[in-house]
Amino acid sequence: MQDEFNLLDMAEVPLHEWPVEQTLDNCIKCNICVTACPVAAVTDKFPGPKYEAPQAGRFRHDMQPTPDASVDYCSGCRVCNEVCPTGVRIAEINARARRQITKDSGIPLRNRLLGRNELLGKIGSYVPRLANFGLQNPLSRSMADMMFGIAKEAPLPTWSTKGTFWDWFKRTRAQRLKSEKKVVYFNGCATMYYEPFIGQAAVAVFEHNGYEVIVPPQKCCGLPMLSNGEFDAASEYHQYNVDHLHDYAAKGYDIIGTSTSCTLTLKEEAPELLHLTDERSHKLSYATWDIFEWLRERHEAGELKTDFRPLNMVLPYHAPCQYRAHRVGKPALDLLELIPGLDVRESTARCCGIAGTYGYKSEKYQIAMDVGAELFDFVKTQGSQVEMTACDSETCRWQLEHGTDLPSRHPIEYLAAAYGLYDLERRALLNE
Amino acid sequence: MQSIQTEVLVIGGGATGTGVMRDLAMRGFKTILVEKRDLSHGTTGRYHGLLHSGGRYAVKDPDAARECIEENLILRRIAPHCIEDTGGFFVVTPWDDPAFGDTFMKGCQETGIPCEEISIAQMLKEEPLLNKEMARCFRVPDGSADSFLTSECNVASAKAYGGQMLNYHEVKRLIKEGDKVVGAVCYDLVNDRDVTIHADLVVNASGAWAGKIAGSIGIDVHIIPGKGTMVAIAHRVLNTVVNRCKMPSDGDIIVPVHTVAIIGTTDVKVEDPDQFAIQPWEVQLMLDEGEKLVPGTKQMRMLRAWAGVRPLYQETSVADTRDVTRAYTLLDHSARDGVDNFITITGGKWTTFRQMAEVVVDRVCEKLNTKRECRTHLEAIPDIQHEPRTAEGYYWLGSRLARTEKNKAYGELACECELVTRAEVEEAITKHEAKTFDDIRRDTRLGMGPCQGGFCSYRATGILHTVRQPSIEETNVALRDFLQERWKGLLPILWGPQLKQERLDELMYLHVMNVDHMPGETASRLGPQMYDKGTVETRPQSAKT
Amino acid sequence: MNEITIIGAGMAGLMAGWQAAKQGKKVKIVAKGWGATHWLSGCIDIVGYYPVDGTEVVENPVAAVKQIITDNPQHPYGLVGLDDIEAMISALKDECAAAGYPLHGELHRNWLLPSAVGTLRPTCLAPEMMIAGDMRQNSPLLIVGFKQLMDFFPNVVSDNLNKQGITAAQAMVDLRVLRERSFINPVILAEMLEQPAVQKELANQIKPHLGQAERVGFPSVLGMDQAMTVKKELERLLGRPVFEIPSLTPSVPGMRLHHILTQAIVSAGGRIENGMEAIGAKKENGKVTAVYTSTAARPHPHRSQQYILATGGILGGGITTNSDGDVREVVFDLPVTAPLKQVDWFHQDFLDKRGHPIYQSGLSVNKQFQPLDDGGQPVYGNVFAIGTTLAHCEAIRERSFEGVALATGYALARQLGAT
Repeated sequence: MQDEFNLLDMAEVPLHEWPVEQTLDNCIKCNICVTACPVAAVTDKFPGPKYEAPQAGRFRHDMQPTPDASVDYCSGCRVCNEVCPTGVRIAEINARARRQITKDSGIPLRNRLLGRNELLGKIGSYVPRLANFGLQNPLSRSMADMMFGIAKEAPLPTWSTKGTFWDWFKRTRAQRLKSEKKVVYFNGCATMYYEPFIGQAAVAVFEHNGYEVIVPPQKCCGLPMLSNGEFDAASEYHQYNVDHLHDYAAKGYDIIGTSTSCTLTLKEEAPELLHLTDERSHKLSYATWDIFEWLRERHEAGELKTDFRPLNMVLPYHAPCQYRAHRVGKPALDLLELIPGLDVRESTARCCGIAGTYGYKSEKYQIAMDVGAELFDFVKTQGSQVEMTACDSETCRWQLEHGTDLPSRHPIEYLAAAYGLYDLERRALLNE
Repeated sequence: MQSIQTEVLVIGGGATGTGVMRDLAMRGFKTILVEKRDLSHGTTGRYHGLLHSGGRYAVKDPDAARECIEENLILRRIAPHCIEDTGGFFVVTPWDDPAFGDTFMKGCQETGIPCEEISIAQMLKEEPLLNKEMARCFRVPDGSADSFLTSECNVASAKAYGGQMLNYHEVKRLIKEGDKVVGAVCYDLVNDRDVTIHADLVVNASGAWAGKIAGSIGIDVHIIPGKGTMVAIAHRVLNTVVNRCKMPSDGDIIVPVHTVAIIGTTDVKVEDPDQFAIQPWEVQLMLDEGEKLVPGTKQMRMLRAWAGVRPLYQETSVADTRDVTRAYTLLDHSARDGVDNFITITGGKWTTFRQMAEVVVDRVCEKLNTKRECRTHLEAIPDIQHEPRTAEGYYWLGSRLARTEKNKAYGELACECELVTRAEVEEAITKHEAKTFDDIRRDTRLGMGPCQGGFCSYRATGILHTVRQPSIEETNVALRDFLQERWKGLLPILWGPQLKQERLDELMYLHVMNVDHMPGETASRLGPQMYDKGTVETRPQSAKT
Repeated sequence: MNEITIIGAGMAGLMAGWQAAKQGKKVKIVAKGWGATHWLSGCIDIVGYYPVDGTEVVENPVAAVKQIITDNPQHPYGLVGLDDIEAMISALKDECAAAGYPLHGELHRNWLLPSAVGTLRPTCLAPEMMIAGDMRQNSPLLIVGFKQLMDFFPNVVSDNLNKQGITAAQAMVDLRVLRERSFINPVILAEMLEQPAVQKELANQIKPHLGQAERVGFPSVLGMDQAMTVKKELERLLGRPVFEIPSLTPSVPGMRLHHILTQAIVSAGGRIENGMEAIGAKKENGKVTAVYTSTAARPHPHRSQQYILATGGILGGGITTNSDGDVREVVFDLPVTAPLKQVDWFHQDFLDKRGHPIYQSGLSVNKQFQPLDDGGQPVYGNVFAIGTTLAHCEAIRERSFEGVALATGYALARQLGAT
């Protein structure tokens, strides 16, 4: 699917061959990242991206105890990377510095819990109603706050009470489309345990366009662990995914996800943070697509069905930071704009604040809400006719709902709805 | 003319001079040290910062090797805060003779240098960016040293014992009465006046300039200034000193010092220690040799280049400066030249400065007919900084970051690259007698990071103008001097990210701040002594070793 | 497919994108990050010193631009001409006025505004936030700094002004909200100063120092979006005109301009995508058919009818250099005009009035802004280059950085719009 291209062999500090820390040499101290950082703007516990990555990075030493404390307040939103004119991998340098902190002082139980999104999802899904009761009831949340430091107000998800995504996929096996054209779907933990309907919408859109969907064995992408400094565990998970997805990549299948953070991890975060330079990780990275990135490519090639029904609504859309970190433009926006009647309003807010698991932590909850205020205000200014919002990332949607009291949907749900396959209110396929 | 009386006058504010000053003061001599610029302005402040284990000389010069390991152990004891315990590797690259490794091991054993061979896997575990094609690797107790801080601490220690230091006092000539040296006439650059210092005895510890000093009374001390050019990589690509395991030659070492890694050095005979150029071929040679140790070096950001002049002494002339012994030489001019009360100490290495000082002061005692024991190896040199140290008292790379984090001093950073606070700059101006921004730099590392003064030059200007309240012309010229001082070391390595940085600095200083149109003089007499602009792109035959 | 893809979101790229979108072109700007807007003073310099090694400040940019074009027809101003410079200035003034952030000035007369070291800085257009600092009128000033902001020292400014015969005093304020913080930066300070309580405390601390001052200067941190309101409120509280003085990056006035220009582009239907580093291009039959940007995985193609290269020069990153002395253009590998030998890149003195020859490296283009090959022919039919990526200009020594970027961006967009 790629055109040929020629690159100048002049990279000042080549990426990938060297650990990301080497990119700190690209910094010219210009302070652009400082002006953009949404966290430094709301708390002085975090002195800003330039200080943390390219500056403090020169004082870090693998074999010495880490002197860092403030870097733990980096949310990892990567807005700094997005605006940096010289290509410093600031957020990744910070993530690796946080890892050093955990190496020195151990990983708090709370962070271990938050890192184990998948395990939590699995346990909760055995008894989803009970688990939901625990997560939504103020008493147990206060206890979690006190005991683990998980903020009691934070927008935790609810377990699916209708079974996991895989349960559904197996149950409906007979109805699934068979085709010469195949794609591999990476569902991610949130779709698996909390929001199986997003996977259903994605499958429906693939099949509507004539693609058979393969869902191979897969584990958590490892990002929550990477964000919490648990690199060894993340490495095991990533290796599992490489083992189970690599063959598809090698055969030329596109591996497509609906969670922007999972696909970002497969593409870049895991190889970069874990400093993996092997061929298999690289192949998997190359074959991985965000669903709208992939759909836009189909559209540009004239292969995407555009038999959309009108969706008459004003829709504030926030491209999450993790999506912007893919650096593929705004493909969800490109496609939503094709839907007749849909008045998409693009948010220019930097970040919703939640940044994965950041906003769940008691000491960071308020920072996350303050960061998100920019986005919540944007939604409010779009007027009272707004009934729903759109965002590609699950934790950002939950935060957006928490901050605006409006339901939020994945863009694929809108696309499936526009194809006439999906009910946006019920969050279910129409034929089920 | 102002006139001062002392027992011993020491000329030269480098490692040797300040070491001599401390030893003299500790043994109860009334001592004055004069330095023509600021402490460590000469060779001491322009070397690669290696604390020798002696490994470098284990094969070629066993005496020097023994001196090094002895002093290495003493300095670790008395001045750990001036040392980072990096450890050192001697590596056999694909370009070197693997058999030399055995010769090297044997040399280390014979000279008492602890040395163990480690596996290449272990080497790469500790230093992942090193060349994976290395054949062998030996571990030795090399370290890296802060030569600026050591000089400062020596002087602080000497002052506590009553010593006096006069910087920006340039010796114009020695004063000879009959067959005795009785003092020196100095030019006070700051106050633009001459000062006469009378002394019972004069120690000439002016390194590469020793010949010039002695020459002022017609004594011939033949010093060959050997220029060594070094290049600093903008951050610590290595945390261990890495030496090529072969006979000493150009570009055979990378030393991690503070936040940078320094590739050193060339060795080129120059006529005048005050006037020479850093040549493009030297810089290219450092990069090419660095590339052999750390592949990718040439693509990395270079921070700066500089050159120091080694004070190599010889009685007769030889062709290659590297063949001259590095062991130091003490010249008592009464025996040698019939001029009494005058001693020259020259040659040597930074690592052995204390021992050189001890030998000098022993001779001073002898000449002044008094018996006083040296204690410089017993008593710790005080730490004048306020940084956290390791359990053993060593400097460690993260110390400034630890301090900044602990104090939440993010907003107090005048120099953000090197984490220098406003208070430290103020202290350098008020307590440590820094006259120029370059002096502040040596005290604090202000302006020594990747942006090379891009942000801190302005901030230091404001702090200086606020604290000292000089005339605005003085402040202006101090800023211009510093911009030029930083530039001279950038010019040889400006390409890639560092060139981009320099253009941003130009944008801020010229386009936004218009500093090229400030009132006052364009340069001061305290300003930097420039290297000439290098123009020689390929290495001349005469410079081959 | 886009009609025009612009690579780079500095002054030149933003101006070209805005003007092209305004003429109905489908425009996308892809940029590695933000750029020169955040570094510059927020004023629009057209030409401040010419000849660059002279001592005289340019009073009338019209005459100086004419002289530049006569002396050096290859200079970017030679490609643009005075009419487009005039038109650009008027378009920009209109847009900024409409955004409630007026720029003032005329092409035939430079302002003389104080700098952060107290020198007099010639510039053509200045935001209303700065013009009360004009040094062509001599009334006494008070220069105010913030204790916690080390990017601006009022005593350096006032003492240098006094040295040049301008009566100035200085004051350092120590605001409570700043004392409580572990750090500030110009952006955070600017946002704080939008709070009325902070404005009051500021004014109260300044009042005892007002003395004979008839105007009050500050570092350029008087508000972000609300700058004009902050200015008016401070003027009311102090009873005197106030003005800003730009200093080290980040430039708050530059960010305000950035905001106005990006809003203008989006309003005109253009799209801006950041974090997109252009790393190569696909070339077919003398045309470029795709520009690639790096992504988290595969390079991403941007297909477009026309491409505008606005990646900047040495500083912006459009022109890159290495230790071997290579000077290259980074996206299309276009032929670069540069000093032949690396030893000729620099002069011995940092402040050499002539400027360092390497900084004049860049692309040689024709009047259509098409980069040329060694034979003087356009390399690609659909590639154009603007701004500081162009050769034959020492934009910093001339003080023409903004002018060259904006004027070339404007002129090219006008040309492309006409076809």
